[in-house]
Amino acid sequence: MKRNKVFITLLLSMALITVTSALWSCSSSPLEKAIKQALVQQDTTQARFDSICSIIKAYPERYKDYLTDDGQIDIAALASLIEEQGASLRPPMHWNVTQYGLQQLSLTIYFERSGSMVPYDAPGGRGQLKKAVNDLINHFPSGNVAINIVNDGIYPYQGSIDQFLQDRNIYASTQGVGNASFTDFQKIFNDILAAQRPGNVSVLVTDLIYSPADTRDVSVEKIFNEENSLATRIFKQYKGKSIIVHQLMGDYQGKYYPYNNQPFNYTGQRPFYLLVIADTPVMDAMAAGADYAQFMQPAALRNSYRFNQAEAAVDYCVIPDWKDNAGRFRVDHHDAARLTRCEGDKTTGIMCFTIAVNLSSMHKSAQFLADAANYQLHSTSGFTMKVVPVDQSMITGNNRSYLDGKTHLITLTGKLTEPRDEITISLANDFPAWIEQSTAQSDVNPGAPDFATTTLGLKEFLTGIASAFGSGGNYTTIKLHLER
Amino acid sequence: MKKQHLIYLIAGIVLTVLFYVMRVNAYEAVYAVSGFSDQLYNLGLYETIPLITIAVAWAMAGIYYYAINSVRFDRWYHWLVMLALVVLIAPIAGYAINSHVFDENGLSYATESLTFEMVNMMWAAVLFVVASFSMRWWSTNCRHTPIPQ
Amino acid sequence: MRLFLLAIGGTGSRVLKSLLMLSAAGVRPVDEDGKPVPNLEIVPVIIDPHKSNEDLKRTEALLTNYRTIRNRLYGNEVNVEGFFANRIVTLREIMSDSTIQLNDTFIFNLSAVEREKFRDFIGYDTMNEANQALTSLLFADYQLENKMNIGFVGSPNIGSVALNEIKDSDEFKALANVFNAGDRIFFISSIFGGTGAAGFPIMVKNLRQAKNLEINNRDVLRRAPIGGITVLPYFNIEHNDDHRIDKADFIVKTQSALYYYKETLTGANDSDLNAIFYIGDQEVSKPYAYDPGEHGQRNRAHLIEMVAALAPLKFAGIADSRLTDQNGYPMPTMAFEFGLEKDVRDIDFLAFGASTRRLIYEPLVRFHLLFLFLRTGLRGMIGQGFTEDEPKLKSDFLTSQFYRTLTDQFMRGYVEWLSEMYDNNRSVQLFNMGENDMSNAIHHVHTRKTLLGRKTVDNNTFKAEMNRLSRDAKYSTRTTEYKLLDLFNRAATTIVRDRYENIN
Repeated sequence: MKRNKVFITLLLSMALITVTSALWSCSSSPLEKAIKQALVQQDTTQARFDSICSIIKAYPERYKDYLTDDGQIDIAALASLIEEQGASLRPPMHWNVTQYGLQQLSLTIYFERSGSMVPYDAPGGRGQLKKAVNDLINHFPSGNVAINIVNDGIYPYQGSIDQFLQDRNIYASTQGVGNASFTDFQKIFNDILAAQRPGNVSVLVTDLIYSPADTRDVSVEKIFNEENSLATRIFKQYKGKSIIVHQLMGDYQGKYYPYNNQPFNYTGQRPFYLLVIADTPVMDAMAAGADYAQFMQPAALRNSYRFNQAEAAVDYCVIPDWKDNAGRFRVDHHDAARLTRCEGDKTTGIMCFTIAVNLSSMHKSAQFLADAANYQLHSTSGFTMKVVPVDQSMITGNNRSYLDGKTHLITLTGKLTEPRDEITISLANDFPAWIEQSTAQSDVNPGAPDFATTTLGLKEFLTGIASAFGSGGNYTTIKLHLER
Repeated sequence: MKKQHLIYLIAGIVLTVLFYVMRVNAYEAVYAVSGFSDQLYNLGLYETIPLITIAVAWAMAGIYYYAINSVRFDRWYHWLVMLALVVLIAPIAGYAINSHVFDENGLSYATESLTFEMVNMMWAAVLFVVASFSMRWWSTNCRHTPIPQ
Repeated sequence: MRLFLLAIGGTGSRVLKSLLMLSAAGVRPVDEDGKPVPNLEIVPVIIDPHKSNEDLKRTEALLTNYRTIRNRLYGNEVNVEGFFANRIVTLREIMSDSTIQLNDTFIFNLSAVEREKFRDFIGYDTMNEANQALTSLLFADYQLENKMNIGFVGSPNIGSVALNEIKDSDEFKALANVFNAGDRIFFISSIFGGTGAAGFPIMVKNLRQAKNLEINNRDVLRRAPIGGITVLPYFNIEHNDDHRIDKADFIVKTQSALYYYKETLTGANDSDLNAIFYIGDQEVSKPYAYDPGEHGQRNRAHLIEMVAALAPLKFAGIADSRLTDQNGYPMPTMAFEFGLEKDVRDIDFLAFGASTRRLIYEPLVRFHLLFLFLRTGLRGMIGQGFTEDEPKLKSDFLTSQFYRTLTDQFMRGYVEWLSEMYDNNRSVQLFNMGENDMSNAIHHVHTRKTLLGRKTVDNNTFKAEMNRLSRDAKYSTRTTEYKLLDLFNRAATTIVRDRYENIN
């Protein structure tokens, strides 16, 4: 009897331990486990996201917190859970899943059909403009696309999308739609912005040449000022929108209409523009979403700038073992931005470490991002920085979890002179130089050396937009805390 | 059943559970390197390996005190033999799992893994002592091993 | 109940020794239902004027050892089980009357007869001529010249005279004083020697006629249940020219004594003696060296003595109702005899009848295993298992008074006893002499068969069982000595039953 009691007690205690530990390891639900696993495996794809969503849908009662009233996935709630799970990892990981809520996005192409646009799709040219528009349509994930013709008004394209894509001369086939002799920016933008519904992405295909109805004898400055004020006035009403200006180059064969209304024939290159307009959250999501990468970065892109880009956090982590590392440090388990036990190299006193950053959502050109001059660095100890893009060859098994999904490496070097230092790295949102460089004060002379690469009054129009949204500030800021 | 022995058992269980709860701190207090330790943490090995170590330590103690439970194997040095087995089995099992999971994830931390298993060895020994002193009291033949009490 | 055990002469001492061995093994008197007789105290009184008798000396030393060991084990507890279960006390120990001065020994002090020659003892020189002539007729000259402290040298005629004086001794008075209703008296004597043959009937008479004595509770004494064993001739004397003790005399003397007993003690209507046990063997033992007492009578232990030792135990187990009538007077004599199951010269446990086996087999086997265990096993176990449970058994235990008394003295006596019985005829070989292997220790009793040969018994078998018992038992209020022997006894009970073939 006594012996049995002892055995039962022992068995119970063993069972207790097993159960406790089992409970411990199972304390996270299948949903949390799946999220964690996806994060750890760096498998932050839509397919993985869909499988996570299917867990929620399989247990609607258990996970009702992640469902909306109509039984759809509550992306925001799920995103915060994912953020929470990611924060518990080392280093904390992020997965922007709001992009997956964009499946219902629609695309509306506004094709400017003014006189000066026609030569971009001349049969003899290479048709870069048409190609760029076709690409936009093809790379828009939902395939929900509408096409409009714009000049003095907005006129729906009469054919199907397939017809449009196969159309060899879009201007010929849309001849007679509206009044091609002038482009009323005010009306166009107002119409586009007013027509935009939530979840809609509008792209205006234009040469951005402001051609009001009668510009004879009007000074170019006056036109510029008018253009500038116009832009500001229009966009001021739509503070919640974000606009991206893409500049591309296209072959131009035909009559060019300068501001003095004395047209001449021009054969050669001319810039044209794709203005992508969407609500800021939609724009942010598209910028972050891998599915929209091609849509957001047209192949022949020459220059680009996004208006109304709020400062955003970027995903980054300190790489524990990196070739350039010097001295010692330990990354805090709960705060990826905190480096403790920092020590310089024993002989040189220099401390060097590298952070891997995902700057893709900045939506900036590789050149821009790889230039250390575009970053502002603040450090009391006088750390300096280098920035290089992540190259696939850098990725090894051990650093994969740090480098996967990251675009740039920022290496910081310096001597920690104080017990602690706060290093601030910011990517400044300065008005880009290319706008200035692409702006012509006069377009009457096709022989001018920069005629092929400049657009009349571009700067005035874009600064008008910029002043509507208010510019400056930073795209992102990374703050690192160093402690001895 | 003596009260005092029951207290030992409860204390042993509490210590073991506490070890499991504090496992990350327990291991990292002794050995932590960025990268390797983070991977252990993310890949859930800080759950699996301590669990295996606990299981090995308690199971071996259970085997020694209740399955072998022999008058011919009741000396302190026989207990040490079991301790030796524990500090071999637990780290080997830990290493096997560790390297398997790391391989699956394309990671290679051979030296770090070895060092980590040294720490695991130490904890295995500690846990075996804890398990021994928790359960030995009711063993017919080995309740006074290793230290008569 | 107190059983006053009056062991008379050399035979008495030797039977007492066997009784000690049986008691050490844990053989206890059982009543007719097979239950141990409760509250039993055995008070042995050795009556032998022959003080230098080696058998007496050996027995007395063992009695003292037994008492030491038992006190250490059980203190004053009476009803215990296990080794040394029977409580054996001296007369002095139970005496409440302090006016009588007694030595704390088991030996009746026959000071009156000790140094005198028989002729001085009876006042031969002061007799008138007629009496002297009569005396000379009754006693031989050498008998008159005998110094009586060497015993009565096979002369019951002398013994009867001398022992008649016992009733006046302090010891006898002490015995009479402590005797209570319910107590019993048992005599052990040989019928063929000097001291016992003479002393037994005289002392019975003295007790039954206690009303004539100047003692306190003479009525109780007079009605006391009295038993006795009379050992018939079983040993031989080596031939010697000096013929004071003669084998040929034994038979003659025995015959006349039996007639005498029949007339005076054991007759059909006689109630002086409640129970008479007869024991004897036609198979003659090996001759004992002739020794009329001067050099110390020292004889080999014999089967007869071991069997005889069972008689007082049997007597203690007889129900009161069969000994005294409704009025408290003794009932007529019952007579008992003993027979072996098989008439063989080599005696093992199987030679005994079932009831005897039931009584002695397990206790003796347990005791023998204890003997082997203490000799070969215990030392190596100190520091683990049961030795570490409270009270702890440390290595200093092996040098303790108790342990030395038990092993160096009592166990030595036990081995001597065994080997003497083995050397004798009939040869008693209960255990394989000199065998240390426990599996093979019991003569002609094997361990049980299993699928893979036979079960084994060794020190580790005991260690494991004692470990188990010790874990679940509480000995913390007990002595180490008690723990060790009680554990062993309990372990042995299980092991003997589980591992050896059942011969009961």
